[in-house]
Amino acid sequence: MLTLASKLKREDGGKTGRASGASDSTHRISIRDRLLTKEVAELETNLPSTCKASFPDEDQLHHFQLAVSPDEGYYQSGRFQFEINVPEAYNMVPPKVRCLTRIWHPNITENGEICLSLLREHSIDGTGWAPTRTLKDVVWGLNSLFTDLLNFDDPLNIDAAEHHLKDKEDFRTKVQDYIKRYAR
Amino acid sequence: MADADEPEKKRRRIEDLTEKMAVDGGHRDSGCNWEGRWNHVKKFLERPGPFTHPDFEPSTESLQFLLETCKILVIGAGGLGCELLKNLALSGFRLIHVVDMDIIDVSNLNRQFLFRPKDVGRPKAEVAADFINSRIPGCKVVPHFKKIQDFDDSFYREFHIIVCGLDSIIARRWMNGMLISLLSYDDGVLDPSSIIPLIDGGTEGFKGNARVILPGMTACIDCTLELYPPQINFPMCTIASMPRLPEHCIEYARILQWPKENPFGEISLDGDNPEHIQWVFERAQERSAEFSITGVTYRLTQGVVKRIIPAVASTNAVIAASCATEVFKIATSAYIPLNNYMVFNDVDGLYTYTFEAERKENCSACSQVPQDLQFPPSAKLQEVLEYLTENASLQMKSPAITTTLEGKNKTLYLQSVKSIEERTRPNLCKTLKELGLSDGQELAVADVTTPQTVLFKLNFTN
Repeated sequence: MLTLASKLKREDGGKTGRASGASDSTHRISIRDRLLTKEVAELETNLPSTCKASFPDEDQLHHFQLAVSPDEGYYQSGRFQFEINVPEAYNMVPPKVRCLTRIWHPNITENGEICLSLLREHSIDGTGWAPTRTLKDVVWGLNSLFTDLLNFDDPLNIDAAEHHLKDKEDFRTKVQDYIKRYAR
Repeated sequence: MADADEPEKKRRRIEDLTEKMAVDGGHRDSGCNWEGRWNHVKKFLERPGPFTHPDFEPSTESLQFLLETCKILVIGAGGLGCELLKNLALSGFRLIHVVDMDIIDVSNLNRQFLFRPKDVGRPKAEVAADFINSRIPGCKVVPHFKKIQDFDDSFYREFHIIVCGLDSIIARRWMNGMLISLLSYDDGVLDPSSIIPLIDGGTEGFKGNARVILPGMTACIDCTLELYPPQINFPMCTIASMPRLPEHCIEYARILQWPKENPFGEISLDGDNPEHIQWVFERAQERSAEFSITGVTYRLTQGVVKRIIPAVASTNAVIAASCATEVFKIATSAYIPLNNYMVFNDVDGLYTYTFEAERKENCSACSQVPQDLQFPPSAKLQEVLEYLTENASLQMKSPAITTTLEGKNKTLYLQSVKSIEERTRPNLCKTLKELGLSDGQELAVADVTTPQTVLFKLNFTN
């Protein structure tokens, strides 16, 4: 098979134009876009009841917003907006997520940076990003930051975590205060 | 006395040998193929041997093919690239193109031997090409100071074999995808002349690998994606509150303390400035003492700040040699190529292993041959949708259809997300031509009935 291939090329010499089909690179669908077609198509059916996705541009499936409205816990009654951007190298790399709503949370800074192991390219314990994960996992992970993944022991916003340690009730008050001001 | 004569004799002997080994064989004016120049290659191609391919017939044609016709593309002119260019040029390949988007840095000079201190700041591809072309008469290396993504399929189609000495997985996947898109099928059967073999080499410290990829036939880059180790990236929360490694301490000083304290004024950290590195090193030491972490050294600090992965010249030499050998084997069909993945490791002793990497059943890059969709350009998108749902072998429920135009995604119709459905509904009444689609256009279709996105290729009929 191999020798034949080389032989055919050799006979071809300078190689004539290939037959059929504009296989132009501008028409080639990237791996990211192929994956997104499937993942976005099944996104809405797989959302938790507390989450809503919105796409500002129907052609840019790699850029959308997620609104999470927790129905239990400290963050009940708040509505938190996340911005999700899926890079070209997906799914080798995780989506980039930012929190657009200012929040008092041990794993989300007031500037919107999120600490979620799922979103990390490399983690020592294997809970980081892998190509087997999908947008559905990211959405459920973000949703869980308000419930079972709410983690005071490994914080990104150290002040918020220490606040909770010192005075739980005061922490709760501040969370609700932030919700009133920013998360309605 | 004999001893006094020895240095003189030795000097004369060395001079003699050097003359014979002179690059141009002393025949600067008599062209590029002086007597005996290609004897070493002829030994492989013009006589039978115990390791030759079963179909091999000795002839003078193979060498002529290498010298005059065979076009090779080398991607990367760095650690592996320099070695590859040298190996290929000295083996008789003359029509070589090299692509590299980088410029030369002083830290490259210990192993990227086509470069000299005076070349720092110049494009790697151009300096490498200049060096090879002047050093090896007859060799015509064409440099391209560009990214691989700056070229389209018409460029890559021209080459017989492509060899990669890249430093990123993303670039490899791109190249892999490009070659897969060049494959053509007749009634579902792969046309062998559309295959461009891809020889890929990679190294990191004392470890390396070389592999032969025949797109459409053997395992591709994406088939074996899990073999690549995860790339090191330290999470901020660990750096900020729970450091465990010396690297975390260094990153803390670099990312958090430097912008806060601005020790040398409002300037950013310069990895080449020893004072800056010293400052980061000292802060990192303090932090590591606080958390009882050992291992912070000045050298490590430099490495982390400059994101240096230490490179070893010998590993590059081994891997590039293996790759160049495969190029030679495939170009001449004289020997059976590597089948198909070789690993190399000389961290402790010497270890190498070769195995046949298998194709992945649902590989996102190479497992799908796009299915033909025959429609006239005047057909409406609605007709395509109906075909996908009504065709007996497809029977889709509510397919989402997207495509790529001008390098960007265009969502043609997506039913399952209400807001997108509303905005793309008008497309259903438009003709394929109106939507900007052309003959050979690739369509991505996803449906609840398909585990992955299915690819289709539009075949315009009249």
